[in-house]
Amino acid sequence: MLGHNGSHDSKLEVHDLRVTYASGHRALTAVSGVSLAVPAGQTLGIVGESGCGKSTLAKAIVGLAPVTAGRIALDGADCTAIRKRESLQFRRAVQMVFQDPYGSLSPRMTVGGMLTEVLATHKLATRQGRRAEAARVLGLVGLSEQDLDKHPHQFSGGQRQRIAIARALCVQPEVVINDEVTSALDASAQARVLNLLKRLQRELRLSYVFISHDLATIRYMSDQIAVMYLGRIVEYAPTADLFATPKHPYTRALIDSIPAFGGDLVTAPLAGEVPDPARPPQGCRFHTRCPVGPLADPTRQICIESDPQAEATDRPHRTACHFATTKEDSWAIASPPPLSSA
Amino acid sequence: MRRAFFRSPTAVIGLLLLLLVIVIAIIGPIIMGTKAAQLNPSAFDETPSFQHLLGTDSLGRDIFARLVAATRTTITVSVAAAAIGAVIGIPLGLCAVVLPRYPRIILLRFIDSLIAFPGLLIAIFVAAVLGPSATSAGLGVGIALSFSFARVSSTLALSIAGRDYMAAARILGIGWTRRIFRHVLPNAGETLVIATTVSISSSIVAISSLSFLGLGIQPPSYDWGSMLTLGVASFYTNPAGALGPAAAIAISALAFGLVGEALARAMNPLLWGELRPVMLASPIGFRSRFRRRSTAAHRQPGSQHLADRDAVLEVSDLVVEFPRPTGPVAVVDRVSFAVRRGERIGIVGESGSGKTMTALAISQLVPYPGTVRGQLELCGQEVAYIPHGELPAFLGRSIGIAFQDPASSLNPALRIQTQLTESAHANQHADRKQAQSIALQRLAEVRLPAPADQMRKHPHELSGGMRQRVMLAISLMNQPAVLLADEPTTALDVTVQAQIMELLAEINSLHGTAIILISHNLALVSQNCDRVLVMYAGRIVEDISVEKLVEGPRHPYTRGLLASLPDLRQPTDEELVQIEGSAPDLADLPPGCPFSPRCPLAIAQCQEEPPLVELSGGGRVACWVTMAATTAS
Amino acid sequence: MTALSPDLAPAALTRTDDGASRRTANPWLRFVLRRLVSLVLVLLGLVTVTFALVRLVPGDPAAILAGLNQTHSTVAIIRHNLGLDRPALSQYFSYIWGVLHGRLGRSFYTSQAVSSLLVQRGIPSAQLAGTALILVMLISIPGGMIAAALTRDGRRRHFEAVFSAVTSVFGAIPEFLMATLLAFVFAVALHLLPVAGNGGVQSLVLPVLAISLRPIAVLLRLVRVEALNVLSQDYIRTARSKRLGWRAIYLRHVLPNALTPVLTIGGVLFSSLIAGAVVVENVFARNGLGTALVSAVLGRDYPVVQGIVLVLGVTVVIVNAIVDFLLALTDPRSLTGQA
Repeated sequence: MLGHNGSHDSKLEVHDLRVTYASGHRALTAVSGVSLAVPAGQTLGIVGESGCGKSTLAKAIVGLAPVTAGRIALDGADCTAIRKRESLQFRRAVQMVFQDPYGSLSPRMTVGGMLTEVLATHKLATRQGRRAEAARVLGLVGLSEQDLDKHPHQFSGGQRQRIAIARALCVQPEVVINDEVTSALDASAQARVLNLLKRLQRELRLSYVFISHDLATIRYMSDQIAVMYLGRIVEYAPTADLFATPKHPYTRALIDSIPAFGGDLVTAPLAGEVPDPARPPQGCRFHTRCPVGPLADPTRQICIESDPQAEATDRPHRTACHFATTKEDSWAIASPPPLSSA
Repeated sequence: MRRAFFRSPTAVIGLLLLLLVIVIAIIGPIIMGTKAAQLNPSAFDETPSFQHLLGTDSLGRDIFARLVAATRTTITVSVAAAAIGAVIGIPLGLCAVVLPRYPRIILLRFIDSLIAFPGLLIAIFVAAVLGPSATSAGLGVGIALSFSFARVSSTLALSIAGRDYMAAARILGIGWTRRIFRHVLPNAGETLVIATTVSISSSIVAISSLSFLGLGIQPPSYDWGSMLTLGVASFYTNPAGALGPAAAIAISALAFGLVGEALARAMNPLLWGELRPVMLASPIGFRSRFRRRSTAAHRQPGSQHLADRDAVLEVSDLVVEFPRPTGPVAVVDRVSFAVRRGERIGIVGESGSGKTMTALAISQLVPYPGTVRGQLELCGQEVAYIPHGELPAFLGRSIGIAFQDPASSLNPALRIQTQLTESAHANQHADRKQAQSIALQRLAEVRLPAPADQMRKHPHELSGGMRQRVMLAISLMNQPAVLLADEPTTALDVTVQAQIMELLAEINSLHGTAIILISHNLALVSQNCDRVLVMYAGRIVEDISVEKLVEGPRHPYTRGLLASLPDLRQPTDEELVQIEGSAPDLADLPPGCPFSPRCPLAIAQCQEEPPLVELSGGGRVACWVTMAATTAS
Repeated sequence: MTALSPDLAPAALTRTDDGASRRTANPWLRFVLRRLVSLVLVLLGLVTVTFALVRLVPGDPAAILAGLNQTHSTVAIIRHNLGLDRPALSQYFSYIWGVLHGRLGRSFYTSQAVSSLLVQRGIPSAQLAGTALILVMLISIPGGMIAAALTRDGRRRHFEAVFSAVTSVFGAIPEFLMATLLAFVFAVALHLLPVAGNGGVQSLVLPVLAISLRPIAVLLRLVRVEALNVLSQDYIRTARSKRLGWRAIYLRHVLPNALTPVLTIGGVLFSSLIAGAVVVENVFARNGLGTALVSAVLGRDYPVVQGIVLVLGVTVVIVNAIVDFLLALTDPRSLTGQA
């Protein structure tokens, strides 16, 4: 499977992960064969659109979604068994911040109550010292001690996200999974939270998994990026490389779809929408929309017949495509059909 | 919390009644016991008098005394029944959360089918089996109540279990006992309190009904229900004998109910502060009538009436106000702009900037307590002068709107076809066939695949992108001169967004429809519009062409917006520019420029409100610093 | 035009199941099948419960049923009549067999076939409950919608306060109290209507009112709240933007969505109507199932009790199934469980 084959300084590794939900009469495989590695102290960005399984992947890592197959390892130690990931030890090491700032904080608890509860659970401070420690952690995210006695509804969306981050920091984690943490925020709040996350990473030596549908944010936050489509990773590269030479047609389409500030309107790079994840297309899952696949060039039947495997390789920039080349090459091979009257 | 409880008059009444009932329950038999038992066969069925406040029953006993004495029996049995119901029902319902999928479904269906049975029947059945007595009545009612408890607690537990904060608690390592007691119960508390008090209310009624039928408390004990039986028998001679117990039952039931509601409200921290006014959309009536030309005093200093013969839309000094306890708040404050035929303009701002409300004001859809002032000219006609009866059709043919979230903006109960054709029926007086063919045409124009098939479907059967295309088709049914698109792509994938934006451009070039694109995304707007209006705190702070925008915007807020968004050229090792502070409270704006508290360039003059002035190179800006800079250069 | 014409790859474009046209017949079929199965299961459960309950009570069921004045011979007779001397399973099957053939035993006291008793006493009860149901629907649904239209967006706060107060009060008055009050006002005080008796429309008025007023109050509140909820939805704003008239908006856009939650409690509502009917019949001395039930319970006439409870239960179950069906009609999402 496409992905990282693991290396010595990987904080968190995932090998060939599969997550299947039984949905009605059909099984829905949300994640099918994903491998990745989060280097210590760095950020792995996971980007993709709806139905790609990135949130499910995050939930599976922390134990909120069932792992049907594959391995998860923390600091090299296998922890695929669910009880290992539900242990306090794992919980101290791996934490998560959610997308919805309004739903992730219990409306009836005070901020101080939330933080001291975590400290108490992990026995990280004496009964007397909990409040002080909570205030300290709250200070890390730019809020003050007075905020300890307030309830969530007294804060704005951006502030609530910062509270959620503080709550995760209480256990002094090593890995933090950020699941679309700025998607629900205004521009000014977004900038603030992103800056905060970067600063915390530097100061506390955190490793991040950063999940988003917004490529620009991912680019800003990540050192390495995995692009997902319908439960698979289609491209995996260091950030600069991904944007300089995107190799997978989907990555290129994503990049081209982003409105360029002041740019001219381009024709939409991709037609149609993501197919139903419960019934993924045969062969390469992207072939039904691929601008350089069988729809553009009927001779490329291999895309329907066979699923492009990852090259078993240690190269940092990998892609799952039968015809992965640079953009210039592929456009020369199969120019898009003339604009029809449709 | 105590303060919140006592704020409501019904709560206080309820509490007093409840205390009365409880006190009487406790001391009743003690003070009235003997009097209640006194038989006086010669004075039977007497009407109320000073001596016997409710008269006497057929055995000459004082009804009032018996009423008071019966309180304890009635209340105790009723509370006991409710307790049985809670003890059986709540754990049963909570099981729904811990069970795996299929057993859970079976359990929920089981509970649902139990709820369907009349509780009274179940109680009667139990009484039939065990023989009528206070115990069997209590047990029967308790069992009947347990089903509703199970239903309430299962729904509640499932809804709470699905919340993000429960998932977060799990990930934080918080153990399940703590999760139940510190996370689930406090959030469930409100509902459970209401459920319990309501069940006590129902229990009082049910137990009394059973006793009334002779199936509950048996002689020589008596409760209000059995008193009612006697009372009904002597109804014609002394109605008080029936009305008295009936009133007692009703009042006690009411007391529990009121206290429960008040307690629940008091337990909700969200209600402790000021109640925020809830704005609902009003479906009929065009309340936002535009007044005749406003006087000069209302104009924003220096604003100009933009005369433009080619304008399809012209807005002057638009104000939208909402009443608040502290005084009216202007969410749109003297906005003026014009849109030419075929022009594409974008309105950019963050939440609270007034951009959506401006669109609603233009299309006359501002929700109820809001009032609109200012001038609006559409297709050369001043809207205020159009006769009331012709206004809807005029608006329908001049403006089309596509709203933000296609999932919620389409009626889930109606087919796509209906939602398209009804617009043509209403605004063009098209008949069925005409409307259908227009609908098919529009669906083809928005590139919806297989339009004839999709017409028969319901919204939930379509994907997000398809729904947005349908919304656009609906807005174009009457070939309006102006299309308002309020965040049309915010809920969509970026690749689908590109398709929709391309579609909008096509519509613009094919039909010459002017497009007003409302968004928080400055890059999107810059790519798809000719001109941009930037709004802040209900005002336009900058009006600039896209060419000039790319060179460099003038207003500090626009610059801040631009700088704070990560785009593909942003250096990744630099911090993102933050705009200091937070969004302004429209009810509490500082004097002068609303952006000044957060502006890095603010000077003393900013305490005075800057006018929106035209700059020599084109465009408008409302900023003293900018004006000084441009006059200096 | 996008790089690829969408017509080239239709399958990929839709989120609906591929081959959706093949399956349009199926959602309804699956739904009906599912409902039928659960209907049969519930009915079986009902029959089983009525059968089992008396046998589950500790002690000798025959002795319990015989009551206080039992002798060995009465107990033995009861035991034989109920078939309690046979093995449990055979009793169960013969009971079910009997139910399916309409044989529900005979009354201990009158020896009348329970089934004929049910028919005889069931008709007046059906009249009562049916009239009440129609009245409730006719008043509550339009009434609630009108109340919502009048009080939307916080208009007419005074009217809203009065509406809430009146519906609260009437919603809290239990059936027997309402019956008593109505009897007092109209029969005793005003001599307008009869307080007892079984004849004709006149004697139907007070009992029907007594049963209906509380559900009407409750439902008026509910319909208003739900309609207000619907009015605040985005799709009503879309409907307004099409400049539709008020009839189109309320009847075509609001009503189907407001009805969904109303129908959901429809089953419960019907049950409470039945419970109310039982009580009210006793107040007004009407010869219906309610009075039959009470006297049967007091007289320990178990076969009659069993039969009445069974019939009422079956009615409730069937009405609920009808409600489910209506629900599927008004809310297309409930067919596939997507609501």
